Amino acid sequence: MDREIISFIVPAYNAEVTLHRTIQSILNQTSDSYRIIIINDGSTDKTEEIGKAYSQKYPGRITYVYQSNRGLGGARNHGIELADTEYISFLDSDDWLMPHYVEHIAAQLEKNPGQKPEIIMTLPQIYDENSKLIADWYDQPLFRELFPEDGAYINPQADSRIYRTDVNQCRKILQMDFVKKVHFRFREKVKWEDVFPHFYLLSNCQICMGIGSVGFYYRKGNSNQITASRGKDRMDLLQVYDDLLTYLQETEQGKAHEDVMRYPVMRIMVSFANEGIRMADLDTRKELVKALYRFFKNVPEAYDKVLFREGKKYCGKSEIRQYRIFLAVIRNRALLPIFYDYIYRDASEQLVKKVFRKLKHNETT
Amino acid sequence: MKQLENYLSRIDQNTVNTVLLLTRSQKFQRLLESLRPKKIYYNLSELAGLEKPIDMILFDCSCGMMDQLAKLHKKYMVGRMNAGEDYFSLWGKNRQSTEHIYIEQMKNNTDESEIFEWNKTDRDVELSVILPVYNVSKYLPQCIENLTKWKAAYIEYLFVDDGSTDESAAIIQDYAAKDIRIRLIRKQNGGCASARNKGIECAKGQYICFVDSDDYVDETMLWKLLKRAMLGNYDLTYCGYCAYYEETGESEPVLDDCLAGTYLTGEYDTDRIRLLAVKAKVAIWRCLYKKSVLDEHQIRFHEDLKRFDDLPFRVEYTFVSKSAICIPEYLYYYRLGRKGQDTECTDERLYVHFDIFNHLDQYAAKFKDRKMRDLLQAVKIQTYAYGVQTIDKKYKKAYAQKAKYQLKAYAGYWRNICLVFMYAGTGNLGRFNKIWFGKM
Repeated sequence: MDREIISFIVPAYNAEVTLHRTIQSILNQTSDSYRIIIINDGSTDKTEEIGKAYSQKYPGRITYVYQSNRGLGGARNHGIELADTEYISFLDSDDWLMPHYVEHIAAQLEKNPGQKPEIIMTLPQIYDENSKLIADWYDQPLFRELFPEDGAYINPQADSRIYRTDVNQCRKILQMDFVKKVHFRFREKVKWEDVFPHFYLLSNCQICMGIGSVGFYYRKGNSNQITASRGKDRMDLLQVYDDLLTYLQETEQGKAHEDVMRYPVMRIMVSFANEGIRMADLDTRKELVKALYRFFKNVPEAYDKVLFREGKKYCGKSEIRQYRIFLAVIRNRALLPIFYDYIYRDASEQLVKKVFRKLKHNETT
Repeated sequence: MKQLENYLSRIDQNTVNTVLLLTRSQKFQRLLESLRPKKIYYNLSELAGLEKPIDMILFDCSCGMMDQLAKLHKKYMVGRMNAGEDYFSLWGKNRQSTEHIYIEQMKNNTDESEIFEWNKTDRDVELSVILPVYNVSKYLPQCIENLTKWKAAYIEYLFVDDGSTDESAAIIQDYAAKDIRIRLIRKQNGGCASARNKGIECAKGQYICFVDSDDYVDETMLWKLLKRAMLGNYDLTYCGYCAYYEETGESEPVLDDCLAGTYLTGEYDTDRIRLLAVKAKVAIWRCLYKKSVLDEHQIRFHEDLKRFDDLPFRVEYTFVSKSAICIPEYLYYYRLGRKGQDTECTDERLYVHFDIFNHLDQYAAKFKDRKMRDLLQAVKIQTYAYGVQTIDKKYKKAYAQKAKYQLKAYAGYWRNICLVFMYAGTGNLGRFNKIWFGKM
């Protein structure tokens, strides 16, 4: 193959420690069909030096650009503008790839040249920095169900299970023509930038291919990660939710899919909100709870029913119970203080558990 | 296998040209494909005429001839081991001739594994044992002899003499003349905390252990702890301890909540690790700590505290540990019944508790984490409950008043009660109520 098929868009914000390994893992590829675009998102450390050195060493293959800080979404958008290959893939500066990644994807694409997928879904693995162990990705069973073998195709318009997959953007390889066709960009300066695009892209996509054994590592346990931030950024969640609900209720494309997207959207919103409050700083928690209260008041109650009904099929009893409690509390102004302070909830839960255990113990003896 | 594959994929391709592959398994052949080595050897004897050292040894479980590998110089030693095999001695034998060692070892009776990853540094010390010394000449020989029975070269013993006026320093110097691993550091008297801090500053090891020089240890303690800590990369590794009664010469294991449950097989959940702040007895000397964690969070002993300086150290460290594991054996002997011990004071010196929590409040404030503050409050309740029970009658009332004031500053009665039930232990309920209602 003459032309490179894929561009890796690597946003780097103060990534001097990890950038080297990420880039090196791309350079280690067994196939040459790729390019790299490093976007320095206003770093204040040596990221600039590292990026420049790479682009000088591999001219034509590695592009390096600097932009003043626009956040992860902004950096990725910049990358989309610069890319001119058939496919693009986002790679955060602490992820890395196995050497066969590109080769695998190229081979799968060649197998069926008449049917070009608009989205290629991959199955990452999680590298835990503390234990140094590798764990399966959160939605592995569902992924295997959807794509029983590498290179399997589905049409998201016909199979709504796909919305239930994990929202991570780095696992999705996008076709450039598709990106242009649907005018896709990330919302800038917002955390949780992966949530909205997940639903937006899938609901517009006709052909989606899955490749499970591709070798993509996602690193966990790094304190700089978004999932680890607990401060003001938590409020961004509301912006993301607003986008979702507006899309679902007010746009053509969204309305057309509303019935199948209700459950996965609702589940994401409730579980992220629940976790978001739990993790939030003392300073932001109250503000966040109040904002979520205002938001969830506007979510139609019909959505709750969908969540509980569908949830019974797909997730465990305790998970559904958590959602029930969450929704009951967040919609009731008088109960909100429960979320400011978890101790009463946790304490009562522990007490109930103790009583149950005692009862069970008495039964068996 | 997943882990092994991942590790190999992270190695720069151009650095591995020659590989000695000690298994015929197809799986391992496949693993090597991505590294693209120029030459693969399958037998040790093929290496006989080789001029350059080999780049990598890749081995599978129980492949034998491990002893011969130690002499061979190599950049990487990578492989897999079964549950029963001894990774520690393999590392010990190869650590001088190898730059990077990576072993994936299966866990007993599961299909999970644990990872040992080690890179050579120029420091050549793995474990620093820090012993503050102050007028303990009577106990020193037993302490030193038990500690140094394990002859590994990668340990250093740092005796920090805090201005002793007896012959402690001379005794240590005698031992140091016979054992190069022993170092004596002398300083002016400044208290136990300052001596331990001095030790941390001088320590070269990746792991740190504190031993009090009037106590003594089981001769296998350090070996067992280090072996446990390095496989799985644990931030906090600890064992149980015995109380040793000097007068009778008897000792008995001290029961501790932290020697059970998931801590036995390794815990990576930070919430449950933080629980150790209330579950485990202070006893900082039966633990291994990581120097990198101490430095990253600037955890040191507070030198202004006259006693119990180990309490804030322990709490601060548990709050930031990302992994912990215990060995359910009682390997440290803690001497009781000696005059002038901290645990024996029952007068106004116990007021030091309030200074301790001053430091800890400041520390926890940085994290803005409610759960952490709750746990700290539970530690407070435990400590004040101990204080109010131990302190002499004439100080009791004033102490309780001050304690209540402190507890109340954080939360009201019911919230405190919840904390007692959830963290501090229901055994403290009565004492907490005594403090709160002032009825002595």
